[in-house]
Amino acid sequence: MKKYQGNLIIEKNDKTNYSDLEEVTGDLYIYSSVTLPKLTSVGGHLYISSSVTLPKLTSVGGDFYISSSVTLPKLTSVGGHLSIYSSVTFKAPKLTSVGGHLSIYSSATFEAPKLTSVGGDFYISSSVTFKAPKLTSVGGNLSIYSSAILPKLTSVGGDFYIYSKISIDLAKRLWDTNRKKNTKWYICNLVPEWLIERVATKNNSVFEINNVELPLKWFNKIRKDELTVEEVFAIDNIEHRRIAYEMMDKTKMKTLKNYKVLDEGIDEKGKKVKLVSFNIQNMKENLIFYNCFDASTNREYWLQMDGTKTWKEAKNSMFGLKNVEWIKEW
Amino acid sequence: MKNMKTKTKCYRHGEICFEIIDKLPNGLIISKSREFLKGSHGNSHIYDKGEFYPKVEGEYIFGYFVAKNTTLKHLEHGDKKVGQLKTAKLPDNVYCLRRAVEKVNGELRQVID
Repeated sequence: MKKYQGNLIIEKNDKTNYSDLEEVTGDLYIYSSVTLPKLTSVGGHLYISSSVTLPKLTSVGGDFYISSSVTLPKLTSVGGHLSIYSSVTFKAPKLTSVGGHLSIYSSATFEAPKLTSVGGDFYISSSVTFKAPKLTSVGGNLSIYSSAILPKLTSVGGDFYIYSKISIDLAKRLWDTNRKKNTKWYICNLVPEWLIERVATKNNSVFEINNVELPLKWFNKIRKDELTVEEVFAIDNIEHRRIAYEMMDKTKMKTLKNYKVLDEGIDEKGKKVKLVSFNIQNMKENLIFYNCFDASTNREYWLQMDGTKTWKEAKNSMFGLKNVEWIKEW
Repeated sequence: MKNMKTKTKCYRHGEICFEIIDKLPNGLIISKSREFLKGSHGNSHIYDKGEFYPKVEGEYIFGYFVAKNTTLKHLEHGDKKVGQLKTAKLPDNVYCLRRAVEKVNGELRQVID
């Protein structure tokens, strides 16, 4: 069996001897630990979800999905998308091009010292170790969620999503090469000030802090901690208020007039919660805020619940209820 | 046993409260949508199985739901991650759906996360 016509699935406990297999014309699915010492090409898609040895594989015509660590010493090209999933180590010392998208998910390690081009989108999730020092062009969108070192990258065909720290050198290179293109920039507060100032000159740019989109004016005030504590608590949108509080110097809380903890306790998820009151701008009535934590994300929120006296009352009355047994919260 | 208060039993999925009720009110129209609400950042609260009857009643209630082997899905709220979304198993019951609202100077303001 030198050439396998069509799709081949290597299931768990497959006892077939594949030592002569050189080519698969269709898709190849690998669910079992296997050595394919002579396989050089896969015409369709390749799925690897078990440990595999592929010392001679040079090309994959379609998409390539990897959820088990692998070293591919001869691989030079992937025609379709290349997706590397969590905690996988991928090493391809001779890989030069990926025709489709290159997506690398959290905690994966990617090493391709000769990779120069990605035809589609380029996405790296958080906590990725990425080493592709010769990558110069990305045909589609560039999405960076992890501190990536991209010493040669200049050309990007699509939009920019930069949600991680990047070097001033990379920022300047990307901006100078691509600024005249009709592309959109999405950036966060972690990118260099130099880039923020320039991206702010483009009308359709999007600004985020901790995944929350903010108008430019608020983005700048919040990241520079220029808001007073009264201004933070006056923000209508609770996500904007949450982010503003997160970024705020907490010693500002001491400047609130008549600050008082009305009630505090431990909620159903074991998190500390409290109900506080304070006065702003000499208003007749004190404002009352319920300070709590999201059950799933653990984010800290301040919800205005005027007229309530206990944190339980505040929590229940948020939904128009009085006496509630919370069975489960997500 | 006079004056004994019965607690309302609820589940919470972010800014949505699922209040267990005995039966559906009359006159509801079932929705074809699998989405309860969409947050201000585009994060939808969606479900896979069950019957959703949208109906706004006052500031809190926005519909009713009959859960039958239902899994709730959201980018952030849930027990475990399946693909890009987190999932949560909602027990079979009839529910009144309520959304979270802030109380600001005597007025109510919808919470959108």
